[in-house]
Amino acid sequence: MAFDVIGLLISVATVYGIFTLLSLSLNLEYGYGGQPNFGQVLFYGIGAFSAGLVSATLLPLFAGRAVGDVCSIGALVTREAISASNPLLSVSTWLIALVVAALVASIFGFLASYPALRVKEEWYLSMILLVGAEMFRVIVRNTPQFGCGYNGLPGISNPFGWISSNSNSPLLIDLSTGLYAMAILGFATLSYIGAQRFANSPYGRLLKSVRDDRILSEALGKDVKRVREQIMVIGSAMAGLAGALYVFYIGVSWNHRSDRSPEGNTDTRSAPTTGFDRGRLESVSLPRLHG
Amino acid sequence: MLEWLVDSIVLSIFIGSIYVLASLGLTLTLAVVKLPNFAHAEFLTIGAYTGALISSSFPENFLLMGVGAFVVSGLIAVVIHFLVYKPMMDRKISIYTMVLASFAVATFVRYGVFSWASISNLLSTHPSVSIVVVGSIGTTPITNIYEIVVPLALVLSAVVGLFLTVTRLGKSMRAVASNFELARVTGIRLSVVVPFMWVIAGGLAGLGGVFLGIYTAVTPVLGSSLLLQIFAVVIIAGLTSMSGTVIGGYIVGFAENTVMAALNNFFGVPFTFEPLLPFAMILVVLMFRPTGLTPNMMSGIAYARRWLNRSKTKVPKEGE
Repeated sequence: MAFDVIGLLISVATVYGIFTLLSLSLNLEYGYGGQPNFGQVLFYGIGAFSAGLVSATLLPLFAGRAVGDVCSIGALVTREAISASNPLLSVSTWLIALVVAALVASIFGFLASYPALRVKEEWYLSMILLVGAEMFRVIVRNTPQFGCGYNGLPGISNPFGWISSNSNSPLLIDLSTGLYAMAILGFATLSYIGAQRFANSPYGRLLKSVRDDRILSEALGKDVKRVREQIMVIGSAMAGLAGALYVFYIGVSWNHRSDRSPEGNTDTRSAPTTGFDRGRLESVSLPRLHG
Repeated sequence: MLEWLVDSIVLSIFIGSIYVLASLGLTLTLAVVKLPNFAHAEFLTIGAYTGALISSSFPENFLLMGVGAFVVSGLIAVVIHFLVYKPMMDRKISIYTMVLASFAVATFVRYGVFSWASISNLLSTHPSVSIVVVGSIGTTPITNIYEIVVPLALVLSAVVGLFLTVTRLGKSMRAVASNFELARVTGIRLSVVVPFMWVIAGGLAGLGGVFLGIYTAVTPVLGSSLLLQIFAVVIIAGLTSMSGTVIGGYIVGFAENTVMAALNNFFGVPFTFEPLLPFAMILVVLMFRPTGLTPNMMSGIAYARRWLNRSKTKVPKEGE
């Protein structure tokens, strides 16, 4: 096939869904909650890593095999074989991984809200979160215990990969990736509707009042700090979910910039030190819906 | 025994000097136009590439490389100011949006340089200057680059300090920094002062980039890889203090090299964790002392002076 139109559409839909989720999370935090955040990628990355690790640990565990070293090639082959042959296991592990990713990211969101809400000026907060994201990248990249360090954790298969595992038919391959894209779009739609309802609920109005005037909201007896903490937890959980979905799409959780970046070509000591997916962060930061 | 210590101290002073050159401009930007310019690090890249290009026609000519890098980076800074920041500032757009715009400028410039470097096959290049060992401290060699950079950083920060306190333009720049509206009302021509500030900010960073490029290699991510370190310097300096920036540059330089070498020596921490130290400094300073560390040192000196002079000034008693 010269030009795979369906495959292209599917991957566009997948990436669109992931970005929608990620942007919605930021929109809740900044658009409604008024929290500037340049470190959303931190929670995205945490979600991605925890999903990868959970999936790599649980797949062999459920199939009754030894887990061993998740970074080894043997483990990679084992988990790919399991997810290709066992539909139920594959999908259920995926769902568990998504839940765990959202939970872990929300915990980190709560932790990050502690320093972030105690700084004076608006952009300090975004600076702290940006620095947090960079620290996460440095630590994960140089600590093999988390997600296999520099090499990343490969072999996190598409949960619908078993559809096309025994054939080379392009139709079946499109079906499996298409199903995954549909799942992602489903998550994105659900979170869009959820965010809309959330924003129009009494809590959403409280959020907007906190955004517009913190002192006034406090004077009216609202617990501003608590509200800001909660919105960071919710936003981080959504970002973590997006990260987990992305891992199952690209099949590897790693801490490099995306494969589209040309920076991989320059082999200097400075190349790896650029932002952990900062490009993605920048493209996500723009939308702002008003309630 | 203590070779690593001497080694790392020598390196700290070198890296600290480059940080000083790179950060002075950002401090100036923060003071005068109140903009945390995330595109600042790209001026280092531009300066480094300008230096490399000049050195391919005029090898070993440090003066020409430095002046060329200063001029080109400064001009690009002014162009960015007129194209992006000035129209946004005229419309009084919020600081968050301005920061996002500076992120966008950084990405635009970085990938512009990337495309150009990729076409010209210069993704990783070295300026054609020879690094000569001119002396040594113990077993640690001192190169000619070292001998240029360290005095240059100190002299240039002194020159910038003098410029700000002695010349009319520098004084008006400080006036704009302390009160933008008042400065405009008193008739200071912002259309001259602000672009000139950008020339200095971009130019100094470009100059730092030349020497950083000689020390490592000239790549399109040369500057952006140091963005947060430069911000660490400025934040430690309390965002607007010029003398604080000079001290802060060396603080970060020492943290990244001497402290890191000590940690490696005594606790076996791998050198790849090096960026964590300036990052942790940003967190700590922003959370606990957002006015920075160095202004307090300065006020400490002032306090000491007051204490020494305490007998000379007579405090009037109540009811006198």
